[in-house]
Amino acid sequence: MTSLTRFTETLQGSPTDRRCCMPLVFGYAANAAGISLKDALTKAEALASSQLLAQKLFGYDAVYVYGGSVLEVESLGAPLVFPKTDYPYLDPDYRPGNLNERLDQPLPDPTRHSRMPILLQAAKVLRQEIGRQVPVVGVVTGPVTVAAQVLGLETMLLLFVEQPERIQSYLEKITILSRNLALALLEAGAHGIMIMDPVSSQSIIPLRLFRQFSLPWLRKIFQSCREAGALTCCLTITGKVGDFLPLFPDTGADMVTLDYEVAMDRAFQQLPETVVQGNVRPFDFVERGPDDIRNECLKLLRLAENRRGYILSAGCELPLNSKKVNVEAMMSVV
Amino acid sequence: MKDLNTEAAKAGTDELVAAIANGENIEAVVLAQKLLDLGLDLETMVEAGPTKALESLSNKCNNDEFCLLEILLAGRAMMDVMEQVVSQHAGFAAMVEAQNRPAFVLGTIKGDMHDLGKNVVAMMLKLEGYRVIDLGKDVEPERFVDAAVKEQAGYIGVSSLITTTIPSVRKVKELAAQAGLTDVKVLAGGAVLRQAEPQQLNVDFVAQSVFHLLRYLRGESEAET
Repeated sequence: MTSLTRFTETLQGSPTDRRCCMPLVFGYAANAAGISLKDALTKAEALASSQLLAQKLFGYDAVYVYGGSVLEVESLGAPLVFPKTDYPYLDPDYRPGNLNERLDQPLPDPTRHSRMPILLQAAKVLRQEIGRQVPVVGVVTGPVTVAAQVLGLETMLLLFVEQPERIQSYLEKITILSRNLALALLEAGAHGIMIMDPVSSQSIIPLRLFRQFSLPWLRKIFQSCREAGALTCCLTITGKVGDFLPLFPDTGADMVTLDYEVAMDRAFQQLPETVVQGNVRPFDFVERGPDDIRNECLKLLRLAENRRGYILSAGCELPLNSKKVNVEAMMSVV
Repeated sequence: MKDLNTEAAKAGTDELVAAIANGENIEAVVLAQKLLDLGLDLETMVEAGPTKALESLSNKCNNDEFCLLEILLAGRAMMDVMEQVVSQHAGFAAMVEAQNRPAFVLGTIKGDMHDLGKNVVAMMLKLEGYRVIDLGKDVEPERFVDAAVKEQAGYIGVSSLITTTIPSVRKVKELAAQAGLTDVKVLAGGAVLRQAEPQQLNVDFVAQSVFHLLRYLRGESEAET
């Protein structure tokens, strides 16, 4: 089976030759491939090459098109700092404008503005180069997370309580940006879309606010992706999400990534029809050795023995300073 | 009315605890002031109001039922009570002196720009009576130690959400030892650091949450007395 067939069969709940393994190798691909991370985030060829080389090196079952968690907020005009060996972050001098200004601001076009066209070009190259064998997954940031970056997390959280209608209007606007980027990635060649939405975690907002402010917009994006022919709609919310699990199918996701803080047996029980991937502790790829990783993976595989809809993965993105031997150890058990 | 031995005082403090826990800051300030106006002494009001509310949040945290937003709202209500009512009271200086908490140097380590979690920790530490020296974000390990020397701190708290900062986290205790601060405890927290064991980070304690940190500090404080 090719990785693409293996992944497709897993989504359909059909048997596969071996367990699908899709660690979230985003920026780490550049480090593994010996390419500058900054280049991989600013040049389409470098992004595509790093993904191709890392996938070839380890043999896992997906490649990713990811521009960092601040891609969308950058496209909305926020200045970034690009460190040499780490992801870009918001300039510390950045002061969020008020909500009224933000609501009036025109939305950027993914095909023309900021670094988004670079991602679209990388998706195109990856589809051409490897897309018949390996799924290409485009990654976008969830509206709640983007809004938290634009407005400041504390400000956004207080707006949830004090001005729910106004923040909802803003989330609706951001949803259009996330959706347009997702659709452009699919159009460029991505097979599926992953929404990363770390701020929609149970550690940050309670269930009722997830239902009110996250779920409707996630559903809207995934619905558009489905209509555009996406092979998969994957939801990735890092941290604790145990209480949110029953709501995840309502987002329209057919696949979810779960972090190490979520009990997988509970997830398997509560998400019978959804493909679940996870949840090796990301930190262990940095600090522990291959035996530990192998043992953690084997434990997960045993737990998922009777479940077809399971993909071995880390609970979140592989850290940039992960050890190669640990990724190899993960692959050695599938 | 000097203590809680009246129904009015009990009902009033219960209302105050509920207002704080629900994040109703304006109501909490009014209720706290009302209790003092009724004659409840300052220390009893703080103990039965903000401190009890903090404990109820801590219990929720133990059951994994808390979230940042709730802590933020309750913390804001507590802070408003402390700033607008407690610190304005004539007995405030004596109360702080009696607590005799050491200074706590706090910051997000070099290479990390996240600071909301750290800000929540700073707020909670202040409510516990610590003098917090908040160095902000993207802080060099040396600055933690310099501040600890200058402020004669008892604790250094390091926060991070990024694995690439770990080498800098490890340096803090080493630098503190070089500066002769062998009694200063170095504590770590934040989404990434809490995945680690203390020895992996070369720190004395890794906090899983702000309440885990407060329990540790209370244990330390009891051990000293």
